[in-house]
Amino acid sequence: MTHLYRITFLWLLLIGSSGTILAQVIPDKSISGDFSNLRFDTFVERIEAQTPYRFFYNPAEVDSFLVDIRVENKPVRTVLQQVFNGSRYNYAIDAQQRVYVTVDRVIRTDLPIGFFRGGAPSGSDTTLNAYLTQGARKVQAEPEAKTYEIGKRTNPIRPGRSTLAGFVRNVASGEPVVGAAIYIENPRQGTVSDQFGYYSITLPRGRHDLKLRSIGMKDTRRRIILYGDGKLDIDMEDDVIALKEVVIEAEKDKNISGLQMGQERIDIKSIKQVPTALGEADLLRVIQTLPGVKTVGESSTGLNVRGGATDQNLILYNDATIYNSSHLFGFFSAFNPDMIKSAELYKSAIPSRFGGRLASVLDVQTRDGNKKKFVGSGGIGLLTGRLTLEGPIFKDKTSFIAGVRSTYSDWLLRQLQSASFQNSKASFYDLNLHVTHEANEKNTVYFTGYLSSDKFRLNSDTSYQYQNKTATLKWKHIFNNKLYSVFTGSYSGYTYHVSSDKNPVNAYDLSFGINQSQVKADFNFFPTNQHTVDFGISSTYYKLSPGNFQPKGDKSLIVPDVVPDEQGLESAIYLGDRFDISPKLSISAGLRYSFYNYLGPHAVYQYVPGVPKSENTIIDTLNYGSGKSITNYQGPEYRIALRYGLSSTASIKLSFNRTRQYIQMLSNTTVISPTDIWKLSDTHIKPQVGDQYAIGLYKNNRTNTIEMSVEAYYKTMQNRLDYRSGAELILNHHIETDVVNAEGKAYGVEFLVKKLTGKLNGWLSYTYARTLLRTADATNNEIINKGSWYPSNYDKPHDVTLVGNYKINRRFSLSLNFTYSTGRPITLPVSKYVLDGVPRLLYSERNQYRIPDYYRTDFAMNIEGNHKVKKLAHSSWTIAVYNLLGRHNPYSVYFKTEGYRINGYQLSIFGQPIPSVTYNFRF
Amino acid sequence: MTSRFYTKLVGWILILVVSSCIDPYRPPEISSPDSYLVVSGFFNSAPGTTSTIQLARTQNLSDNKAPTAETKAQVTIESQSKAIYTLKESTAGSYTLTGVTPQVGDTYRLHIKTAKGLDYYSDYVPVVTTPPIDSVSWRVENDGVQISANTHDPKNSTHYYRWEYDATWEYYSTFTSTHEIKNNQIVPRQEDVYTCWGSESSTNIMTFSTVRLSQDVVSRFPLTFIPGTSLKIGVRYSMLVRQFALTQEAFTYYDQLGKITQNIGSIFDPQPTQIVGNIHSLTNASDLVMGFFRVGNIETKRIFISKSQLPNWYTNNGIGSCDTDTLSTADVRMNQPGIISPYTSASYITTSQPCVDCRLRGGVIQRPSFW
Repeated sequence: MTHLYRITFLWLLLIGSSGTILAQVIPDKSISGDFSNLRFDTFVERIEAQTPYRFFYNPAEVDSFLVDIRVENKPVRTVLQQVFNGSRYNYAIDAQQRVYVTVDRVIRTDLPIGFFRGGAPSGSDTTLNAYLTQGARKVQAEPEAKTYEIGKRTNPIRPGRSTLAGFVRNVASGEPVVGAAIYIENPRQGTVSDQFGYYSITLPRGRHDLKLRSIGMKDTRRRIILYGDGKLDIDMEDDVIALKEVVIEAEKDKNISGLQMGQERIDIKSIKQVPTALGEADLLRVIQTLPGVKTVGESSTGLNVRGGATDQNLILYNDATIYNSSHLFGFFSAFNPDMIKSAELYKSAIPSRFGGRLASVLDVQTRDGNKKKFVGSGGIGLLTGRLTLEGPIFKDKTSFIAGVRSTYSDWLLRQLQSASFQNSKASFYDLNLHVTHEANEKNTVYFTGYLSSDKFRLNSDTSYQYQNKTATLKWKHIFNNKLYSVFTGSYSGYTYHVSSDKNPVNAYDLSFGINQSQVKADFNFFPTNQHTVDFGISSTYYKLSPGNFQPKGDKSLIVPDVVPDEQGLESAIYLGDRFDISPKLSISAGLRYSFYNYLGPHAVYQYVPGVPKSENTIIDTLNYGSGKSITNYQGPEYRIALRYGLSSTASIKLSFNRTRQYIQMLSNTTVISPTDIWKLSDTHIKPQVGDQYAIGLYKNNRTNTIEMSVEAYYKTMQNRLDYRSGAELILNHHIETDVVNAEGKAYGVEFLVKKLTGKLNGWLSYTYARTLLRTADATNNEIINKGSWYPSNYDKPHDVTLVGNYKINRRFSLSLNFTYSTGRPITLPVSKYVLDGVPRLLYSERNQYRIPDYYRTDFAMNIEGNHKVKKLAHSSWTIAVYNLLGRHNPYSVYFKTEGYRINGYQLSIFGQPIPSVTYNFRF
Repeated sequence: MTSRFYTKLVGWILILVVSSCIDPYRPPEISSPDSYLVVSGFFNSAPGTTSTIQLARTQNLSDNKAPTAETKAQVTIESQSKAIYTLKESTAGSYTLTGVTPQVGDTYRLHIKTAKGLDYYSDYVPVVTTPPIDSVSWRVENDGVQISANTHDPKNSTHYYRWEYDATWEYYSTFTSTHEIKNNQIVPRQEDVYTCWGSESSTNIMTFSTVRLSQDVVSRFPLTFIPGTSLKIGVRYSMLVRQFALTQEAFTYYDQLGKITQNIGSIFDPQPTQIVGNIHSLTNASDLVMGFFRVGNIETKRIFISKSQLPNWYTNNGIGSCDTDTLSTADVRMNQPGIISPYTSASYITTSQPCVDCRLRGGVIQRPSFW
């Protein structure tokens, strides 16, 4: 009986199993011919015409395989040997002269000796062992063999369509699998699981073979008979690293078949393999290696996406806005790598459910806690340590994940004998908590809490402190297979304090704060398999304390100065539809309509119309009561994307989107600094409006293992802020007198070649991009550079990034990063002069010069511990060298008067290679 | 022991990691041949005064020489009512005009034709009459002296003010000195180096606008703060304040120039920008001119503050305690100290040079004319 079972099983597994024994020898037939530059299937046709051999293979596996051989009266076996020599293909010939062509492993055409005797197979028969082990593994994946009946059984099956929905989860941890492709091949139809792992697909009723693919997961399939609407949850297995035969083919043609463009999805695996300065995996650093994303300098985690300013990115951490995404002067990002599951960056064609920022959306998602068992992970680096624990609260229902990360840099600084270092302080910590509760099949509740705090004082009497706080509560409710909703309430807070208490007379405390509360409801509706509709409504209330300057201590003589609070309400409704017109053509059209109210209480200055605003042209002050609408803005935001499939491996996409932004950061330093303040749009400062047109060409090669894309964009920005010369931003009661209304344009081309599978993987990108600003409005306080276009602070036209990773074996991998970019623009003094007896500097027109080009190479080595399943803790080491060549990349340039000379200096953040060692563990 | 060593090692690695590095930076255009005209001075509207316009060139940043004067230029001041006054070059680059008083109500412009034949014109500017300084006041606060300017315009029309000052202070050496070393010989001192007068001029641009006030009144505009222990107020201090009224354009120019060239070097630094005044090249807009031409008069006021008017602050003389030492003639010749007086025929009471020679702290021994 068991024998019979085994036989059936082995035959079932013929494709995709291994063996090394060639078929038994039978008389071989010889062939002749010129088979140069033939597609494999043509080659097969010709051999089949000459010989009785019949070939069996998967056309998809050989579609990129070209035969180039010329033979004269050679046996078929020899010919095949030559054809496949050095390739991944293997062949086997059985007694009936059938040729099986497979990838990587050979089909075994006979049974092992002694198989029918029931005795133990001989130990040396490794092939057999492999078959048998494989068989045992497959038993676990039994759902693949089972047929699921969906809906109420009818006989015969009614014609028409029904909707199937459910969750895709990781079988080991119960976490949702995001972005898994769920599809059937005939007719070709598919969908992608959303951030909750939820999917919904409408199919013709009947028998289907439902296939699933996702990054980092083993491909799987479900046989279904669809009688009516129903639910099917699908578990996927982790793609275990130790098993060589598993090839990651996740979302492999998503860039071709998907409608999204200008979108990059980064998962934690890619994040972890990119070397960073201080050894810790850093999401934002990886984002910065993507085409179209730039940063002004080394210690800045601020992103400039396609010509956008750093404040034009909506950075969401489980739906709550993060206002300052950096720790420790930007050396670390605010995201604990152990907590993150993935991040998605939208550079263009921003979905209509997002709004409020001009340039991009960075949607960071945390992992859900393990629903099955308690596990932990952590790491110790040069400056930081982190620990994450996760596990079920109620098994399979409720889980949590909690992470803490902190520095011990203060302790290190104290160890130094130098007084100046002992006076310095620099530390941060962040805390994360994420709880998932699955109340029942229809309702799931998520809670996320986040707190990050930074403090530093650099051998001076001024100390700085800033803090991000967010909380999100999400309730996901499934109405039916075709409709589900997510209700979200979130709070984001950002505050900073600058204080000085060395001299009690001058001791002060300067604080700034943003409080943002948001409620929103999002609905996803799948009316037919051709349409995916989402719609929703959101409302955000902002309360800003733009500056509060207070004496510190009893002796302080500081006169308090409080810039009055600002309030604003931003609301939006949106509707989007993705319409798959034909397999080749799809369109996604969305409209978001946003309303904004600037609310009292507030006193608003009135200026003489038509002339530059300044303190001197204030003519009146209007006082508005609490809750009164002072001014309002509104407007539609269009989000349109079009895809046309050129072939199964190429497509072209077009998109247009408009975005509006009602809150902006005021900073006349080029990097995000902890003293930057945010300002709501008001009577004088109009909301920013951005339009982006983009076109992209996508091509996949070598069975989707190499992705190539070219995207070009043109973007305009209205009501951008720039600052007049000598602008004062801190504690300014009338900011409108110091800002300049600018318009911006940005354009560029981005090339990306990406290989995410195989021993050698990574990506190479080249970007040509320009970002130009102009202040042409005559009522501006100042016309910068005579009203002509000038480069923005982050205009770096050429940018080349290579991220490469080579797996030597399963335990060692090497990473090499290379970055080159044009130096950023700066304004330099071009001359000095003595005016009325005092030396002064003459600066060039704004941003007319560039600091020297930036060029950096990083190297990292990951060493995994052994892969024994049962051991106390799995550990890995990361050894990295940042700035391998020790190049002094200038970060800023400044001038100092020393004696009678004015000397220029350039500051490099890293002047030498920065080695680091990080120990990571999980248990 | 080893763990201490370890923590120190880790600490130093940390320094290596976090310490940035600073290299000299030479901007690529530092050797740029572009040199722009710099115009200092103004057309003085006070009757009987001499107006001086100084012309010079901008210099490369690395240039340590005195600025090059723009000589042999034709400098004229033209009124909108077609009067033309020619300035004469007195010293190199310094052009003067005496005996012409601009008429209030008319507007004037500066015309410069350089020796190379390039023409520069300023905008037409009105004559701005400066109201007199009401007082230069001072008060003791924060353990020091805060000196302030007060003024008002009864006609409520001035609105924009700028101040400059020259400060002079008397100070003493710690000891009188009878002898000095000249050519390695000890000889009786001929000059009195006990009393000196130090001086400095304001370098910051100080401007104030009264536009938001209901009256054109400047009350206690802070000019400078002198810490109580400063040598400047150790004996007697004097300040000559110059006040001049500005047009709105001139105010904006000076205010911006001040903001980008003063107080640079903190993390709140604004981005530097190019600031150009009201003088332009006739033919080439990119040929910039530094400076701002204005027409008006100056009002001045001098005050004195004596030590006796101030709290009994300790004065930090800037040279520490002056210890005395008795040295033989040979040792005096060898060590070259400051000599207080002979002690015996073969020895002298000595101290460090700055303790006897006040000039070593920057002052001069000539009594200023106003002292």
